[in-house]
Amino acid sequence: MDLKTVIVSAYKLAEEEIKSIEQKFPFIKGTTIENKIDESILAGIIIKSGSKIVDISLLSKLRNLKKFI
Amino acid sequence: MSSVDNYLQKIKSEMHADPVKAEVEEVGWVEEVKDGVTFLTGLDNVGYGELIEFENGIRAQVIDMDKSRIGAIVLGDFLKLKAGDQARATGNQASILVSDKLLGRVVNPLGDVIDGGEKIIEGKRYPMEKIAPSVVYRRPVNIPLQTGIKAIDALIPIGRGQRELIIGDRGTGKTTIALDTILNQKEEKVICIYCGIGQKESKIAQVVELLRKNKAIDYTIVVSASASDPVSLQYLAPYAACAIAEYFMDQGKDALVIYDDLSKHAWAYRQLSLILRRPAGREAYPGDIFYLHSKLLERACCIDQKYGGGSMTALPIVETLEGDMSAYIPTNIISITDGQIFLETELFNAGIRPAINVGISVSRVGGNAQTKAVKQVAGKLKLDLAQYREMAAFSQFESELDEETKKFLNRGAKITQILKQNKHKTFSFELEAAILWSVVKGFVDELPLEKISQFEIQYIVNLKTKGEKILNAIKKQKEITAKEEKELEVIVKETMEEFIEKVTE
Repeated sequence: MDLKTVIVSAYKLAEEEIKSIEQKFPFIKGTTIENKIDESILAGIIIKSGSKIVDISLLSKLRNLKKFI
Repeated sequence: MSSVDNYLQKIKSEMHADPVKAEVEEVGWVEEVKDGVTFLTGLDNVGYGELIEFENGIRAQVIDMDKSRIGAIVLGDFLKLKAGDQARATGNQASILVSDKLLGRVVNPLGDVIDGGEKIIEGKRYPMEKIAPSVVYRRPVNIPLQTGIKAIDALIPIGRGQRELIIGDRGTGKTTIALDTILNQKEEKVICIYCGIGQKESKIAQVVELLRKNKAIDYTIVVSASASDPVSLQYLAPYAACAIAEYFMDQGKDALVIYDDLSKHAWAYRQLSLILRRPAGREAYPGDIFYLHSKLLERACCIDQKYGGGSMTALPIVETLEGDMSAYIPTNIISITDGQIFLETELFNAGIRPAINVGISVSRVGGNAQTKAVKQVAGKLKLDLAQYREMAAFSQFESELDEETKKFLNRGAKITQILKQNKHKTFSFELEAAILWSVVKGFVDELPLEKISQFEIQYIVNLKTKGEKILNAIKKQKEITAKEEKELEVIVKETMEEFIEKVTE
């Protein structure tokens, strides 16, 4: 299975950081991981794999806060 | 600890909680937007009937799944969606917020208040789609649902938990019968739900106004998806109304739901199905159109006391074109329901209102539920009417009629006359029984036809003033005993004398 996973982050992730992410989120194991840089998310990461998404970026937190207020 | 301390503690614990909560979400992207329907890619693990939410807060329900894409009906303004928009799966089925606060309100199928009043925020969530209770929970229908309409209560009785179809052309008084039934539930403690599907907004306003004027709104909920609402809402409306009724039924209460009307519901579903490119069958309806209505009407039931009691009566309405009962939707629903009330344009125009064709209208289970007092007179009434119809057809060829035939014809004409009833004027069952008794016993046989309605009015006045005791006795015993018969006879004769005097004066 050639599934692609994109990890969006605000800065370029180090090899170890990607490894630890892979450990925390086992569903992306065995997929080709690509690191994309998007400064607009401010901090944190967004993991996109197929139709699954894990959004732990500061941008989405702020967005939720705005919705909440 | 004071409440301030409590509050601080709460804030503290919240601050210490793990700030990063990573949740894996199922997402998909809009590919195509069509009238009320959207197609998406992604969402690989979404379930059938699941709700999905777009980033702008609009929700949609998944009702079509393909190998590579899913189709969802948009519950809201689909014009705000565009290709590329992201949607996430919510993991919930479509549901509606229900509570006792709904009583007296007008809501849309999503539970949003549309009468301009206060929002409803508290309550339980009830799923719109639910499998009907199985046989274990049910008991036979044996409590009457009084419509307050003489012709129906006597000849086509409806029981609580029954599904009785009201069918007829446009403008034959289908909605009027349903609304009169609501008006008559004032003292019966039946929660009524009027569900308007694809109706004109003006009609819904009229219905609400009528209910308000007659103080019937306090125990009624109006669910409306009007003709201008998206078809997705029209499709969901009856299920939402049914869910609200289930909420009251689960409390052991009796509920009555009116679906006005299911032919427009079928149209809405046909539109969705055609846009979803499902194969079209007869009259371009999709293959599951039968199940669409059977799963809805099957949810009407009478729950055994062991499981909390309660009941849900359904009065679906179907509009026919040119009296064509053999069209697809009418035949489907006739076969699902426990009987039907046929309304005819000819009768309506001839002044027989309610325009019920008693010959072909039936109630398959209501007979067991009929009050004994009404049953006593109904048996004879049915027989007389049946003979009348037979003779009426026969007598057209024969000019000379024997006495016996004339008697039947006369009686039948009188019965037809007495079964007429003004709209929004409902009767209690004891009054119905007393009126019909006077006709069946032949007391008004010699009265001219045009005087019958005047006699009825006079008779009711006399019953209410002089015969209150008798009415109360019938109400209590639910039967007309020999004693009451004697007393009724006195009043009928008195009325006749008074009446004839008045007329001759």
